[in-house]
Amino acid sequence: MFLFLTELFEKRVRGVDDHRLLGRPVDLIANAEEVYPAVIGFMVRRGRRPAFYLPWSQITSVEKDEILVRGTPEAPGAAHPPEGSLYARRHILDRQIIDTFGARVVRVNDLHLLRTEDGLRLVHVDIGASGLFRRLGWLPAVNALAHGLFDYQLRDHLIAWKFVQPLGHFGRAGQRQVLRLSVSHQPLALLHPAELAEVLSDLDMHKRQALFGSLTHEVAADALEQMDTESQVDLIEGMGEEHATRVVEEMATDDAADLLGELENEKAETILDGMEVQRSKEVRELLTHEEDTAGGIMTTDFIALKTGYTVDQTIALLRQKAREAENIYYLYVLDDREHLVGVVTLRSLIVASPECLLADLMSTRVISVTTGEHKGAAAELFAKYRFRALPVVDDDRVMKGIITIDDVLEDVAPELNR
Amino acid sequence: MTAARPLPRPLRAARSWLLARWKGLLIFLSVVGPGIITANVDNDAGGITTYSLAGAHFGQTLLWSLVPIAFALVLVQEMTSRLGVVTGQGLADLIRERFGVRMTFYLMLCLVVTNFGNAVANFAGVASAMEIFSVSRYAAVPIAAFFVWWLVVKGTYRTVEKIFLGACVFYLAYIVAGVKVAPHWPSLLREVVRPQGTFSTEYLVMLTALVGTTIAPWMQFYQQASIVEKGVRIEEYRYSRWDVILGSMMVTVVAFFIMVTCAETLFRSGIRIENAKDAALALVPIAGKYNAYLFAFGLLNASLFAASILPLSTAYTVCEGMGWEVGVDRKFAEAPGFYGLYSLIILLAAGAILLPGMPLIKIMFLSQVLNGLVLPFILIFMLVLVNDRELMGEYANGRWANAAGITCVALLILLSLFLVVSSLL
Repeated sequence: MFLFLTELFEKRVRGVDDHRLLGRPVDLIANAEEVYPAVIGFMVRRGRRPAFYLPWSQITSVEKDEILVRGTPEAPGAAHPPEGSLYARRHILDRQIIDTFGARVVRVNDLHLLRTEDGLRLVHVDIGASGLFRRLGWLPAVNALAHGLFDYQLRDHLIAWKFVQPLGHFGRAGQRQVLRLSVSHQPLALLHPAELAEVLSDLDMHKRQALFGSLTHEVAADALEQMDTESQVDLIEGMGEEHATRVVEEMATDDAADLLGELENEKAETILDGMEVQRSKEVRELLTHEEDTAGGIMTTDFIALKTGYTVDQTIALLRQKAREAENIYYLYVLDDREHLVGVVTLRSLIVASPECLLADLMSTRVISVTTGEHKGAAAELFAKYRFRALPVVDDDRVMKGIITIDDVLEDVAPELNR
Repeated sequence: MTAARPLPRPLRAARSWLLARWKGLLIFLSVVGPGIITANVDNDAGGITTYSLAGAHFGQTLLWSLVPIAFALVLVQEMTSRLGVVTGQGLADLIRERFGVRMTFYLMLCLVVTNFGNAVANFAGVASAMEIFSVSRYAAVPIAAFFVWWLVVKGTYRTVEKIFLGACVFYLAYIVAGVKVAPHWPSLLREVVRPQGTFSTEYLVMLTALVGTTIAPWMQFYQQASIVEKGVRIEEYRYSRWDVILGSMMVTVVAFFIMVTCAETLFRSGIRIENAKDAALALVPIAGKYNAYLFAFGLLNASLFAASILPLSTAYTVCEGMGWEVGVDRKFAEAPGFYGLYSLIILLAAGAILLPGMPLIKIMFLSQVLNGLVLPFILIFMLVLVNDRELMGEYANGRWANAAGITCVALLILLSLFLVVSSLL
């Protein structure tokens, strides 16, 4: 059987034996570490006295109008809820949460609880109009009106708790703290990085910062890549150096370089110094290119092959490196001095016989741009040839990086970038 | 890098001072906007009417009140912008989280009604200003309404803010008008610093109206929301404070010149007026056609400006409190509640001006009464919030700030209740 938090708050707390009035519930405490948090107690207040903690173990039954309690509760202030508990009113009710199913930020109007044999569990949050009217005390009237006039039934708009990411609360020092959730409850993992970026941009600065700081480096980096530069800079400047360095390290080199180029020099240097040596060298080189040149928008995360590789060797190498590379549909073949000499498509690689040499398979007529060329030239090549990626070489045809279609999307189709 | 010869010490000091100033100026420019815009919108059609009436009927005797009003304005607006910077949340958001949904809901309901009345008053301002330029209201009001609607629905926050900041410049029209009537400056300045009162009821009502038109509920919501939207950081807060002070000073200066113009012309000739349009028309024989045009232009600008911000602020606040999708940077389909409410208010407010037989005076009257009733709640909520150490940490009000804040809020509440009572009698 289900009941709403609002209904629970309307009940009186009474002693089971003498029926003495002990107060009214003002908050509900639950175990935050469960997928559907079990209620472990109430905060109860009588009159203007400070609220006291009433553990679930003392409750004998939840009746229609009353909550019956065994024995006399301890003196107010004697017992406290366990550290890290979830407070329904303080943390969730009336607050913003992320609905990770709908990928948006919403406000909670009510909480939906399930009564089981062993107690109460928090199962849904209510974000709809009926929750609002229930809180205002108008629900019966509105329901009767809607039903009588329009034959319309007002429905609850519930979101399962497993899709709910709470946004924390203010701690003592006025700093926002994110509620620690269990390992099994990671609603944000359901979001695509692009959705996560959008949700983050809907939050105010403090919540954004707090939530972003709680993400793993990989997830944070993926989300960061999808944001506009200004938000990126805000987030990175607002977080500790160590954490910022790890996040930037996880970003694609071109995105990392773009971001570092916008930061204050001092901060950018600290981050670069903290990064892994090879990675930091690549990013530093990217930073030397002008922003609107091919070199300025390319990434160094590409897979380089040698003319002497067989198809078998190449596929084995791909299995190792595909995760880090930005594009594996075009594979670039270099000679001993890193000159770009050919290109192999993934399709031709798969249909070729395993012992075939890349030198025989590759197409030697490679369309490329040089690092100094304007990025518009790259955009034109994308539009003309419908490539997904384009190699970038220096003036001696030494391969430097690749540009993928998303790097020039803004130039090809500016209307997409509202 | 070869070591450059070090500069002589005084030069180095001067350079670092300049660099620090320059950096400060840059930060100031990046946070400027919310305070100045909010304060200037405050000089809307209603405000200009009140200042004109005060000048025309009481001459220079009310000039002194501008100093304490400016002080109160800075005090209140500073609190709201501090709340915004520290919490990163809007005022409606904070009220909802702290005082619950019931309080928020009824507050929002009142706010919609009072802001709607304000919007009507400003579209009426557009109509009367354009009638001075002999343009029919049936052309002026629909065009103005469409312009205002289009600006926000099609624009982004940044472009909208730039246009609004630009509009602030046109308030200079009033300063020009004031200077052109060439008052006797030394005696004027003496009036400004010499509080006086002829405790007649009429005088007191006028004084209360001056305060009431300057500190309004919507401003608190609007300013806090735009501070949040701008993402002002706590380190930049002291620059944001200058934004508030500068804005309040601009309002006061404009109000001063409106009152001076009317005092020097209409009051001297003993002309009674009913509204801002009368003031502009009455200026023609005394101060010349161009001064009247300046007045009309100022009224048009102020009305348009406020007519765009009031519906915007209302929609923003309500959606924030109720938890609906909100934001100028979204598309219509992404935030239907926001744009729906915004469009509805403009449509109804502009429509009310065009339909003959609408009880305009009654709508504005009701809105003024509600304004006075809602303001105490909001000011008290703000005081509670700004004193909440859990929320504000070290930025909570100190003892002196509280003493000043509570005195000021108590006076404002008394005055607004007085206004409510006197308008009901």
